[in-house]
Amino acid sequence: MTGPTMVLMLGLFLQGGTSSADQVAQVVRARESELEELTRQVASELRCPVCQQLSVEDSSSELAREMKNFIHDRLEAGETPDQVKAYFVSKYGEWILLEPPMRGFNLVVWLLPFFAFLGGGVVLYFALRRWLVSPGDASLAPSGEHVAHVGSMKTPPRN
Amino acid sequence: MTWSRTLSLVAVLSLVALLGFGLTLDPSAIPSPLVGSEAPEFRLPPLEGGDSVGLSDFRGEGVVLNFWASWCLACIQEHPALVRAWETYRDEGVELIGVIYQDTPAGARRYLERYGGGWLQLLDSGSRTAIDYGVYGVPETFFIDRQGLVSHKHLGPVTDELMTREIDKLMVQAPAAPGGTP
Repeated sequence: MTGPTMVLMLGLFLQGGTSSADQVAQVVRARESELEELTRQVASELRCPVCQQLSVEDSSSELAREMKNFIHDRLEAGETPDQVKAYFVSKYGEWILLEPPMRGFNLVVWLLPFFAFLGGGVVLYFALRRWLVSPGDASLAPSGEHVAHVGSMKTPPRN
Repeated sequence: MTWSRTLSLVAVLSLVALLGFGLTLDPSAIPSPLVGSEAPEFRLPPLEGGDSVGLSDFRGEGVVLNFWASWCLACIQEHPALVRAWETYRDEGVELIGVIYQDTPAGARRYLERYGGGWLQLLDSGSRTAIDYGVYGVPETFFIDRQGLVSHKHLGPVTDELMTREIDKLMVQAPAAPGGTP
């Protein structure tokens, strides 16, 4: 049982009122559901090694289930979520994290879509500018020479 | 060609080159962070009963740790190579140990009766040892040297060539000093 849990229990015990056994049970239940919530959180940040598109939380594979038990036990023993995740990284490698850390070459994964989007926007801007030029725009109207040339081609060439 | 056309072409070709390079990579060939580090300790019950066995029981010997399961087809495929390696190296200071992964003892026994092999088999129910070794499928085989460091990890079925090559590396090191084993 962790320190905070013990303090909480001691506090409730000293309060009196409802039976201390009930209070203890309440505290234990509250702590357990807290632990389960934290386990779910950590599990949803880890990749299932078997079904690699799914998180450990979402995967129904047996290994994912056993990883969840493992996560639960480590959190119960007092480890922090970061420590548990670091443990898995030390065993499987960084790919076990669903969100690659923002470091080194991984930055390409994070930044490339943003710059591609920006670049696409620039290209689109220039393209639209060209396409949406109004019919009255003198700069794109055919020149007189051009019109004359077109006119001369309307009649078939005579041999 | 205009400047903007050249730029687009360069951009497209670079992207194609990058993607093409990606296709040559093998996604299953992720290097294990364990290689070069101390092999994680374990303490597991043998399939045939008796006291639990730990990796430290074999300090001073080379260890080949093979994770397998009776439902795994690639394990059946590699099994003859394991049998041959075991017969060749069993008296040469190299210990072959099987770790049974997500399986039942009955299933494992049936498999061994059918396909043979007499080396030590350990049960890893709960997959704690598998998680400790970063295992995510079977078969996976770890080659551990005499100092207890992971020398190589192999994903998928082993071959005779691989076994010979990796076990020879384990044997190249000088054995531990006579009084040194725990």
